[in-house]
Amino acid sequence: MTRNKIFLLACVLLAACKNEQAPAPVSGGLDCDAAHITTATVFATIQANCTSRGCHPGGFSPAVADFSTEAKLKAYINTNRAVFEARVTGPQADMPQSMSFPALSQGLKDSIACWIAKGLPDQ
Amino acid sequence: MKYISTILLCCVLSVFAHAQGLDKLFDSTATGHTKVRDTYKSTRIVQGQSTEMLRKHELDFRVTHRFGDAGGEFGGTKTFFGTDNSTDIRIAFEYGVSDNLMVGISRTKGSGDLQQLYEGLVKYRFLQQTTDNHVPLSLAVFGNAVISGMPSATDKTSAAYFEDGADRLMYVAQAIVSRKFGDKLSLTLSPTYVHRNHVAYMDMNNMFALGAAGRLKLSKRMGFLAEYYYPFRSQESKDYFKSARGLSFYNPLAVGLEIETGGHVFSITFTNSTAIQESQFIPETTTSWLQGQFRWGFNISRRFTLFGKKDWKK
Repeated sequence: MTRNKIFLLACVLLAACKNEQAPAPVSGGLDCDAAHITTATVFATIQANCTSRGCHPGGFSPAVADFSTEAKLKAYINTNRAVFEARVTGPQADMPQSMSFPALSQGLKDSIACWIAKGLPDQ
Repeated sequence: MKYISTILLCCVLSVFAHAQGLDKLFDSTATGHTKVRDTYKSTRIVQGQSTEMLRKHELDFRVTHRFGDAGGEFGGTKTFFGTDNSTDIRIAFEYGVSDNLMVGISRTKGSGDLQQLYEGLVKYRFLQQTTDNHVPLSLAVFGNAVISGMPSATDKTSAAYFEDGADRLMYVAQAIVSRKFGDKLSLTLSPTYVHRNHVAYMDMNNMFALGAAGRLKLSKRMGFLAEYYYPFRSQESKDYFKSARGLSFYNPLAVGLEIETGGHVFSITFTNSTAIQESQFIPETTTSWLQGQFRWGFNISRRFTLFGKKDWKK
């Protein structure tokens, strides 16, 4: 009986095996010099992906990482820039972590990184 | 390549299905020969598998943790050498079905294209080295299947964009060959095959890698570990990621100190790879020792004996 279950599991795993590759990105990346990214744009992204399900502030996140207003978001990045970049826009980024948020696209990461690199401009 | 992956998976899974019969076969051939023990102290070396197994009815609770970069752009004092970040965490329960067969389940945070990983694993030891060289090597095979529970990305060019459930799957098949030389030195070679169902543009669904590892015994309870994997990534893929995404791939290199304390085995590790799962740290390591992108971490293993010790052979 156990062998039959194992054989069935093996069949399911083998049947699920496939080789698929994502399509090529359309653009070659963000041109940060030409891009116009403002605090409002980034804050809207943060609201949609980081704060709308009880995270940042409080709840499931450290109180210090409070992104509930534009001012608090900018204050956090100004004092914890390395941590923010490592976890949100860097190659090893692991945010958003849970709570059923989807992963940020590379385009969004590039946009946020560009905004930070330009000094968090409001306009 | 699908045929190769099918054959390899069949091998691993058929081993599981027929393990009981093979147990009897190799037990009988090894009668009268003393088996070499403690080639490694744990079922894992640093990140990869060893030829060590759990005993029958033994449950192993394992916690594995990797911190952020100790140095480089994201390390140093501002992140207290990486301890403000955790790149990956794995919690696992592994169980010895027999002295030569173990199975396990785990949950891993994931560090790479996919996150929120659930794993099922099986490892079977065909041969165990004997002191008189009647069996000169220990040989085991390992296989796992990993599925991501993360929400699908909305960007179709992302490896984390899932059209169906199968896109979430990754597999590893590995042979592990070990030999203990004298009382102090153990060496291992691990030919490995990694299959990922859905990958980013110009990434590789199927990848072979060769692992090499060793343990040098420092005292009765302590050993020095080193482990290196060489993934066979195509030059075309390397060139694309370098030019289009600014990413370079590096070979995972890990060192560690293994300490046995009663029922615990504790390993302090240093590695350039951020991920813990084989299906991620072998093909997706983009961090380099030379740029300070190494991290410390630990493996903790706590073993429990279920159903008493009457079935133990040793």
